[in-house]
Order: sequence, then structure tokens, then C-alpha cells
Amino acid sequence: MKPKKIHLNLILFFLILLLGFHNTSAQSVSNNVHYKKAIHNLATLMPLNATAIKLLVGNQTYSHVTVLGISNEIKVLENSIEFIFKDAKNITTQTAKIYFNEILEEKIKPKQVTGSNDYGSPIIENHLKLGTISLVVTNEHSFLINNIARELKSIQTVLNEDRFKMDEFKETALAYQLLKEKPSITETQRKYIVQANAFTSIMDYEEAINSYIKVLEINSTAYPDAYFNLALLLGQNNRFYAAINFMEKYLLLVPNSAVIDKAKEKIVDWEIMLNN
Amino acid sequence: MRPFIHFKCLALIVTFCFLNTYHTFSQDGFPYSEGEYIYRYPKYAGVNNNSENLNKSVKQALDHVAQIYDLKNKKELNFKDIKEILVLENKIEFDAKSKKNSLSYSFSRLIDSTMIFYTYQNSWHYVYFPSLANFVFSDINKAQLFADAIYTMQYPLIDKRRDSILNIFIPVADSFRALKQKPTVTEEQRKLFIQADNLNKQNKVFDAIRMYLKAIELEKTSFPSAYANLALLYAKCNFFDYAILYMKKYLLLVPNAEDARAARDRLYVWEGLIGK
Repeated sequence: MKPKKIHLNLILFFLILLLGFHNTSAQSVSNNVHYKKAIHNLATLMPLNATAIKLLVGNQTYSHVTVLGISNEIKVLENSIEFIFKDAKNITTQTAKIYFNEILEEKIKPKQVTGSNDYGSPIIENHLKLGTISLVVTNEHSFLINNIARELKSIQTVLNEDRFKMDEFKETALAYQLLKEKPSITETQRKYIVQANAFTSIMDYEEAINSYIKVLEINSTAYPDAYFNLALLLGQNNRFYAAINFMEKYLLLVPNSAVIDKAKEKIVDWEIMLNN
Repeated sequence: MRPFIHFKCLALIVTFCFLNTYHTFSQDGFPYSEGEYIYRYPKYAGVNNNSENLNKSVKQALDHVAQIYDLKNKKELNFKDIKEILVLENKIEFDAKSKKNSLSYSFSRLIDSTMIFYTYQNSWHYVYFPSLANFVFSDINKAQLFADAIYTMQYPLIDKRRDSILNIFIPVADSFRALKQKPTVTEEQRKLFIQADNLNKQNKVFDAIRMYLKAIELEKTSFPSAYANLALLYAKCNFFDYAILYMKKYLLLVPNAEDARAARDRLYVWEGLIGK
């Protein structure tokens, strides 16, 4: 009688899981309550305050910075924010766009910077770096930039959650736990694992990350260590959201791992890096 | 692909103790320095594989070339004398200000030739085609760009040639495996192996390679590990195409050797390093 009972419970468990996760498509992001609220708040906040926001554009390292100036119009869209610059005849001369998908790994936190105004006197500004575009306001508008940062962080969280599909993975991890015989790695997976190790030893972390991702694409559970190594490499490259996610996935797959303490410590470290 | 690498050397002598070095050999992929030369390796730029993009990369790189030594006609062309560089579908033309100094190289000649990518005296970077031309760059990134583009064009031919060499070797390997009484190492071979080992210890890898090749010529299958060690030596100085060839020969001779797994893994590492 006993085995039958467990079997039934398992079926019920999986049904409940399935019922909860039928909408894991990208469209679910726009239906997300937090996402919709954040977009709404930004749409209320930004267009009205366009005159207070100055735009800067920089290259990857911000060694070269161009001042775009204050935009004439700000549009908050489903997937981006548009800054429109117009000339005296009200014709659009330039559009700067920040796509939410492109700032998923950004540390969204305003920074106080001492700059100088047009007359050369020092002023305190608040900078919010979003990829290659920075939003700059004077200190009296710091509440504005803090609110914008808060809403963008909310959007970032929702998008990251969708990107990593943690809920789906919990299902996969559970199924993996229940397997008596774990799957073994294929020859191709072995090739990518060997290559990933080689790239790590020559400190080519980008290629190592790509190799581990290829391992996971072939079979997501045959080599759990890939998650651990991938997390460490991503952390090395300052991709903290992804690093935390992969480490959490590793802990779901191998909850009794020998490196569980190190894994948890790393997650804490990365969360600190994200919030500072 | 010729089995001898001209330019200074390639012969490695195999020593009996090399078998242990599989596990200690962890420095593949770093530039290799011998004397005032640092040997680098090109990477297969598979993603930008179409010929239009490759020609673009060639033009981009050659716009920064400092000097070209035409080895066939014993001419030199300095960048100051270059009026225009034309990268056409089948050749590269360097139009000099004084017409007699102009140079032209067909892609088919460049693709057919061996290419060696090295730095001399830590200042200039060379992409060298023996008996054909030597392109000198001051910026290593441009040298790498040029080397990668040409290598990507060369790779299908390199692969084909390697396969045909291996095809010729297959019956040799088959008859070796069928022998009940394997051939023994001759005294002359032994001498060469030991001398090569000594040269390798003195970090004269190219001289060592030459000795190895001499020893193998005497008796091809008396010491199968010779091929593995030769492969390791080629890999040490970043000549991965040759390393892959000799390791594959080793695996044809003794597919069930104790270190066959390690050998195959090493192959994966080298293939990964050149981007395949």
C-alpha cells in the first residue's frame, strides 16, 4: 500500500506545480503586477520632469563622455524609455533609448558627483548610470532620481526572474532528486567541460562561461558542477544577478553538496555587491 | 601542411618520462617565449566566417601595418610609402607611392602557406609566411586580427590536409596494432630521444621537436608515445594544428592506452583554444 500512496502524492504535487506555471512565456512579464506598476509609476514621473533630467552618453569604460543635454520629451514604453530631442522647429533631431533588457546586470543606484555648472561653479549632481546612458539631475531633484531608480530596480527584478526561470527549474531539480540513477555526461559535454577548464586556467572567463552554457544546453542536469563553476565565473565578471541565480540552482540540484557553505557565502557576497 | 616547421625549429624528442607530464602540463594557451621570440597563436573566427567579413577584417588590420618584408623578391615596404591598400576578392594589393615598391599577394598563396604569429624583442608583432612575406605590426590587436582572419580562411584547407595525412597513417596504425611482436626502439633512436629531452629541459622546444621528428623517421612505430610527446611539445609552443595531428596519430596507434582518455581531453583543450 505504501508505494502506491507516495506515487499518488507525487502526481498531485506535480499537478499543482504545473497549474502554477503554465504562463512562463515572455508575455507573462508584461502581465506581472509589479512590472505593470513600475511602468505606470515611471510613466507618471518621467515625462513631467523631463526638464530636470540631463543625459550623458559614454563608452563602455566611460573614458569618453558626451553630454546630450536635456530632452524635450520622455516616453515610457513597455520595454524601454525614449528620450526625444527636438530642434526649434519641433522636429526630432535625436532619440536616445534605454531598453530594460539591456540593463539587467546594471547596479541601479544613484551616485552623488561634484560637477560644475555652465558658469564653472561647483554643484552637486546625482548620476544614475544605465548602461552607456547616464541620467543626471541636480541635488534638489534627488528624490526624482531615487524614485526612478526604485522603479527600474523593480522592473529589473521581474525581468531577471523571467530570464532565469527559477520556478521551472525547481521542477527540474525535484525530478532530478527523485532519479535513482543520475544521467551521465555525453562525450560532447565532456569536450566542453574540458575546454571550460582550460579557458579558466588561462583566465579567458568569457569563453569558459560560453563552454559551460553549452554543457547545460545539451543536458541541464547531467553535470551539476557546471552551475557552481558558472556562478563563480559570472561573479568574477561582475554579473551578479546571473551568478546568484546559477548558485541557487546548484544548491537546488545538489542540496547536500560538500561546498554548500562556500556556495551560500558567495550568494551573500554577491547580494551585498548588488546592493552597494 | 608540411610536417616540418621551418622557422627555427621544430623537432621534439620524446622522452620516456613524458608520459607523466599529461597531468602536470597545465600551461597550454599562454604565449610561448624562447629567446627573444614570443610565439602566439591565431584563433578561428568561426562566427565571422563569411569571406566578406574576413576581407573586411584583413583591411582593418592591414591599415595599421608598420612594415612588409617581401621575402620572395627581397623587398621592403614601409607604411609611410603605402599610398593605398586594396583587399580584393582574390588578392591583397599594396600600392606604393613609388610604383616599383608596390606589392601584391594572392589569397590562395597566403592560405596555402604556413603562418607563424610571433612577437620579437617584446616590441614588434609579426605575421610570418615563410618564403613569402612577413607583416609587421606595432599593435598586437591588429596583428591578431590579421592572423585570425587569414587562419580562418586557411582552416578548411588545414583540416583537409590533416585528414589526408591521417588517412595515409591509418593502415600503418592498423598493421602496428595487428603485430604480435611490436618493434623495439633502436639505439640511435634512444640517443635522439634523450638528446631531445635534454633540449626540452633547456627550453629549446623547437630543436627538441626536430630531434623527435628525426627519431620517428628512423622507425615510425617503435615508440608510440613519441607521437603523444611530440604533440605536447608542439602545443607548448602554440602550434596547435601540429599538436592535434600528432595526438590523433597517437590515438590511432594505441586507442586503448592508459592515457588515451587524458590524450583525448588534451585534444579537446587544443581544439577549444584555436576556437574549434
